[in-house]
Amino acid sequence: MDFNIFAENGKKYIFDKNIYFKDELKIPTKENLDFFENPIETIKYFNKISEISQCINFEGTILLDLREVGFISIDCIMYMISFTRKLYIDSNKTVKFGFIAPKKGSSRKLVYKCGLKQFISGDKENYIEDCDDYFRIVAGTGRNLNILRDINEFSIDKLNKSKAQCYFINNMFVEMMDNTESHAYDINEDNKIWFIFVENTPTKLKYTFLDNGKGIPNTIYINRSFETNLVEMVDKALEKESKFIHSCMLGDILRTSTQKAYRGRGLPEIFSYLVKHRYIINLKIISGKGLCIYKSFLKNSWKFLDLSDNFEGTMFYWEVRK
Amino acid sequence: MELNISTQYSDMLGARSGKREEYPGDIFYKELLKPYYLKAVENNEKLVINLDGTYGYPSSFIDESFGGLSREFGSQKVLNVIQFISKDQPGLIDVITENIRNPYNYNKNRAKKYEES
Repeated sequence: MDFNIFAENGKKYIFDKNIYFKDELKIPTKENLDFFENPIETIKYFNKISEISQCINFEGTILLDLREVGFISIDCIMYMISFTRKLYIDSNKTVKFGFIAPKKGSSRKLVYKCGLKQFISGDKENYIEDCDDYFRIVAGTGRNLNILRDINEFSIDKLNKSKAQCYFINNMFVEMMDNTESHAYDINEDNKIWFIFVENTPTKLKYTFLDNGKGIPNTIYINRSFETNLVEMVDKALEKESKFIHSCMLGDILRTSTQKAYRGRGLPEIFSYLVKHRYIINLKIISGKGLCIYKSFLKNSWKFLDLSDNFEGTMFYWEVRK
Repeated sequence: MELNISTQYSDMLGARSGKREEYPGDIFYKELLKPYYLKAVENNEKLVINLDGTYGYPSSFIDESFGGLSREFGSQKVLNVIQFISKDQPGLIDVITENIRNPYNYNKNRAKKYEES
């Protein structure tokens, strides 16, 4: 996939720097789009789109051409929505986005059932099916307790448990929303937006939370006056962002601008629901250039991967068994 | 004296701080927990806090409110006055009590436990 992008005097151009491109540009891919199973190729695809949108002579519409995609995950669909929205705003609304749905039936069905149509205008077909299997992708800002109440009730119903038994789901989302509001974006950012999706299967509920902020590795304040583990600091410096994220989950690194030891509780609380309470399984986190996969509370099921390309923001995924 | 969080504040609780409609811990502390605590102390009676009926207590909410009370008035004094009711989630009492007992270094102890296990 080569679109002849080049840089000159610190600016990026596409095709011919003397011509403003105002048409539709299809960006095809044949890859399976899944951040956790195929992170390198998936991130490359989205970063290519970002690169094109940054070309100062591009004022057209970027169409994510998904016709040949074999598999597309929910997290990818969410990222598509959030990422293109961010690029649209960053381009001062000169670059627009659309998509061409996958040909493959299951992927095509998923794209529509997720409610993608309400976020990105695409081809002429325009329906959203109400579905018992999903709490469709929602976007919000701040600690939106109205949305959270609906998610809680959906979870309680599908898990067939009580309000009290599902407390950890509530707490995880509150802390993630709060992290997005307090840490993920620049302080002056107007729209500190996050996205949530919940999928109901016969054996599990699957949750995804996403923001397109700076990413966990870039929102850490390292203060040498505290007993910050030197190993974690070196990991960060050496771009071992997965290990750095892991340290934040353990609570070893103070992810709070106040630098007070009793703060920075959100990530460790989330982690405790995996390792201590064992309410959740298959916790996955991708942020910046780090990917952490925790299949269970057992340490030998944990995997860490450092990526060559950057994931814009932070995504959490986890499952709850029925 | 009794304070029922779900009926007197909200059954959906927020994080450490935020807007009023987000029902954060700092507003709960300023407008309910601290005044009730001081009244209980003044009247030399126990403050019974009913934790039931909510969707959950995020750790940052607990720390800002109960941890804050402990940081302002001292953990032992607070524990001498406050009692908890939690039929929905009995383990929650231990979580909050631990936060009151150890309001400054709670996070570090938790991290160490994972490493040692």
